[in-house]
Parts: sequence; C-alpha cells; structure tokens
Amino acid sequence: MALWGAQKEVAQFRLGLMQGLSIFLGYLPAAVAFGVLGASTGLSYFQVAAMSAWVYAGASQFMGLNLLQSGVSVPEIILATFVLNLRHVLMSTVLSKRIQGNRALKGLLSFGITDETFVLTTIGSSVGTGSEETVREITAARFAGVAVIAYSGWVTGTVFGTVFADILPQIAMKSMGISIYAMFIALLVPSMKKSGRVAMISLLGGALNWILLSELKLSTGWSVVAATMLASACGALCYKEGK
Amino acid sequence: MKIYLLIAGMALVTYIPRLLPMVLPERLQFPIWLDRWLQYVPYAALGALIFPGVLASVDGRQPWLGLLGGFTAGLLALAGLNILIVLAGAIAVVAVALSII
Repeated sequence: MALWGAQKEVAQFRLGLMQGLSIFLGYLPAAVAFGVLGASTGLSYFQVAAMSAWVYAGASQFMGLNLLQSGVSVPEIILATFVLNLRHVLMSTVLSKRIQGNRALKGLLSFGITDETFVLTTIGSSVGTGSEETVREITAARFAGVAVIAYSGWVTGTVFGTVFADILPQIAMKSMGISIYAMFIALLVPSMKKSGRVAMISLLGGALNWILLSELKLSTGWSVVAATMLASACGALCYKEGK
Repeated sequence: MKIYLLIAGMALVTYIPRLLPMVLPERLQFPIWLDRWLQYVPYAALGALIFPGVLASVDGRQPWLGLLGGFTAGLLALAGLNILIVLAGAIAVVAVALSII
C-alpha cells in the first residue's frame, strides 16, 4: 500500500515535470534576457543568479534592476516589489483550496507559485492526461513537478544569459518571446472549446485588462489582478447554478 | 552588501504573499459565494495574462509580430496539437517573419 502510494506520487511528479516543460521553454528566453541585463548593470554573475534563485519573480526582478539603475533606494525597491507581488495572494488562495497536503509541504510548494505555474496547474487538463479528474484536484507531487522544472528553467536561463550574453542570435531570442504566450493560448483554447462560460470569462479578463491598462493607466501587476477579480466575479454572478 | 540586502528584501516580500494563504488554518471555511468566485479566477487570469501582453511579446514596437505568433498558437491549439508543438510552431512562424522583415 505504502509502496503503491509512493509510486503514484512519483508518477504525479513526472507528469508535473512533463507538463511544466512548456513553462521551462517559455522561461528560458526571459531569464536569459534578465541575465544579460543584470550582467550589464554591474552586478556580479553570482548576484544576478542569486536574484533569480531567491526572488524568483520575473517582473519584479526586471523592475528591481531598473529602479536600482535609476538610483532608487533599497527600501523603496522592496516596497515596490511587495506591491507588484500582491497578486500572488489571489493565486495562492485558489491553490490552497485545491492542493492537498500538510501545511509545511504547502508552505514549501508556495515558493513555486508564479503566473505560469498557477494557470498551468489549475487549467492544464488537456495537457498530457486529458482526464477530467486532474482539473479539479492538484496533487502536491504534480505541483512540485511543475514548480521544479519551471524554477530550473528560470535559474539556468539566467546563468546562461550572464555568461553567454554576446553569442546569442537576436532573431532566436526575440522569436522565443512568444513562447509563454503560446503556452497560455494552448491552455486557453481547449478550455474555451469545452465551455462557453469559461470562454466568456477569459475574454472578459483580457478585455478588462486592456481597458484598465490603456484607459486607467494602471501598472501591469495591478491591472492583471483587478481584471482577474472583476471577470471572475462576473462569472460567479452570471452563472449562479451549475458546477 | 547593498545588493545582497536588496535581494534578501525582495525575496522576503515575494515569498510572503505566496506563502500566507497556503498556511492559513486548514479548517477555514469560505462562504459559498467566495468559493464560486475563486473557481473562475484561473480562467479570468489566463485571459488577462494573454491580452494585451501578447502584442508586445516579440517586439514592443511591432505588435503584429506578437499577434501573428498568438494566432499561430491559437490555430495549432485548435487542431488539438500537443502544447510543445504549439510552442515550437509559434516560435518558428515568428522567427520566419523576423528574418523576412
């Protein structure tokens, strides 16, 4: 029984690794870009890599370097980072209801929450398995698999970028910028096909985000949170009955 | 030293929002309306993460490149292809477009 349980965990972890491969590939170019930028701002290779390994938040890291270069003080940068990352409260809340496991384990796994690991694990049904069961429940082992491979993509990409800044072909780097979005779209299309209400909510989320960004001039972090909360609230209000 | 303080501080304020909701008391029962709301968060987030970010994903000054890659991904996904093939196809089409212009 115990052995069977362990095998199941291993299988779930492997499944997570496989599913997370698309995030790994998507993170590489962004992480390489961060490594290149970091090395050019006078930080040591180790400091740039440490930032990716310990902070592990793409948008925050780019913003941090940017503010540092413009002479903003350390406490102010930390405060700005905090504000930018408040959106993870929402994602962590959703995941905490779906991931099983004790609190210590969940606390550890929460380090792996990013925009990408969040949507992949909560939506990623059609990827790999296709079984309905994986949509609702997220095993700790599968989340760990996705988180580990995503994290390794971010860190190895950063190190690669700091060291090999000059030899990377521009066209390859630029075209790989589409990969995270291609992954998002690959997740979106099957769920839209499956359910009209899901399609409406996603479209609403995108439309609201666009309006908030262009009309209200919100920063990207806030605008994504506001659009997400508004669109999902609309979903909850419009579709009272059903699953 | 200043840089390490910065990194440590940023690491802390990034981890806390990720950590707190996960370690809240297990028995915390959400009202039904909140559960229903949270259920739709992933789909709403997905839409907001894609748009309009995709437009600037390749080149901020040439949004059509991002649009082209996005459409390619959409078509390949619609055909039911594996996510990695969708990724490779979108990258390839954008790379071709970049080398032509």
